[in-house]
Amino acid sequence: MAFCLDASVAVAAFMPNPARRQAQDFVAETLGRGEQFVAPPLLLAETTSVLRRYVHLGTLQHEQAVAALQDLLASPLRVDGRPHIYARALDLARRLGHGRAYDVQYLAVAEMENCAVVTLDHGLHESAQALGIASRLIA
Amino acid sequence: MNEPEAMITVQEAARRLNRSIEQVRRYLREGKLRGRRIGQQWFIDEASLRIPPLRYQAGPSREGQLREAAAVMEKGAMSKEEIEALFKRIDERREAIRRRLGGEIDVDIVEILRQERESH
Repeated sequence: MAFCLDASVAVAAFMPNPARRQAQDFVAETLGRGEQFVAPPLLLAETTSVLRRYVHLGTLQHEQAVAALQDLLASPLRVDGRPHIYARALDLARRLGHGRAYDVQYLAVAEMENCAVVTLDHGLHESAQALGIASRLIA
Repeated sequence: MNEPEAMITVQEAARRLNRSIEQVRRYLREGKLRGRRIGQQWFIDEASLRIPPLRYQAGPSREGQLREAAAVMEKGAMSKEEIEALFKRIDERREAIRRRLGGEIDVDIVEILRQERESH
């Protein structure tokens, strides 16, 4: 079974953050079972951007951000950027009445892969539930 | 002939990627791995192993298949040892950050992501 990994869980798991230890435990347990994560390309863009923001704020050193990103890229992850993901994301955003189509890309991948999205974001979790897409909220 | 620096054998690449030798040769033919032939043997640019191999997807046409393939990248499963090493590195980073900052990181990742999305 795969999970669609969103950037909140990825950052929390691969960048040490004690407040989000549950995310790290979830990723460790999932990998330990030999399971895989799947995600839209947005995951890499958002994770990179958040890591850069932490460096800019002085929370992380550049080398630590690079190491965290490399660890994410080396993990069992399938990044699915096939064109129809975006068309589906547009449709899901319309159904939710959202003015943006960022986080719905995770929902589009989860739906198309028939797997649950895993997130720390209550908003994304609620959107998934509203659309009937499986979701696991790590709180 | 000596093996060039930062180049590895097909056998070594197969071991690191957890793929068969034939699969690695196919990656070379398809351009998913960079390499060059020296004498009778192929050598692979070690750096190209860090880029996850692409996985082909079925598509309606050859052009469609290539476009689909370019849109998907995949990294295979990790061994128990690799998982342990991964989380050991994360724990070490946590300790390094804790020492440098004099305490734990306490940031709201979800809020930062929300700000990132709204700023675009």
